[in-house]
Amino acid sequence: MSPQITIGLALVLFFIGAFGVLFRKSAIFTLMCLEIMLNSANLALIGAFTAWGSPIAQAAVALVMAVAAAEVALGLALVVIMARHGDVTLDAFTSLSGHEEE
Amino acid sequence: MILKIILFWLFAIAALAGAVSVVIAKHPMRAALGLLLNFFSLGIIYILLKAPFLGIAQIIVYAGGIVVFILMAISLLGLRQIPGDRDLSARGFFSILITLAALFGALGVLLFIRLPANPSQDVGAKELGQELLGPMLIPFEIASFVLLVGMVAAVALTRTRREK
Repeated sequence: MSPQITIGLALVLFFIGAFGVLFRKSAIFTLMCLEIMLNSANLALIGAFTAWGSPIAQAAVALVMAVAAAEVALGLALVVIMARHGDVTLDAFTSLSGHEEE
Repeated sequence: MILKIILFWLFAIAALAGAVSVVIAKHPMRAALGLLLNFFSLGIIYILLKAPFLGIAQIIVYAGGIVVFILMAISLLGLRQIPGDRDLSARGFFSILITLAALFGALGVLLFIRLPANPSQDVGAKELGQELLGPMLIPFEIASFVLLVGMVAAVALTRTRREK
């Protein structure tokens, strides 16, 4: 498979995820779209591997997987906190400033 | 070879369909299942692109770990459809516009560059391990530290204080 096609597929996936991040209000959807974006970055790295054949690209993919796992753990912890406050939309997530609204 | 190409396109279409269904789904549970389809198809694509270890790791870590994690969070918190989510108001319109402009810009750049096509060998666990524990040792250790910090932070954030 030519690397052009792989990286093109990665680009389309990345911008589908980016559209979701911009478009959705709910925090859990934003997290899932972020996962799609991270995965498409991985796919682009694999495409670079098929172009240049260096195993360092695959090592980078393994590191991105570890970072994605940490990211989803923290993101879901934030969603749990937001659900405790009763609203899981990103627009309502302002209470880290220390004073409640109203 | 022809079978490989057919499989690649099949799973590429499946990955795109999964991603689109995440973006447009009404209910979070459906979106999580679309995410599962996306991750699984990408794992198969990695295997087809001579990264068998990463393909298996993708299916185990993402499809088996992260999606289950998200599904647990959705069912634990009882997340439902939020009214006003995914409305095509001004924000939806501008996000479509910005995304399409960036996508076509990037695809245009991709059309004009020449990438070499290297007939590389499969990179299995052995080569990957030599790479990770050789030249990439310091990033590898930093990634393990990031995982530890993320885990501790997730526990600390969701801890509930007991009232005396």
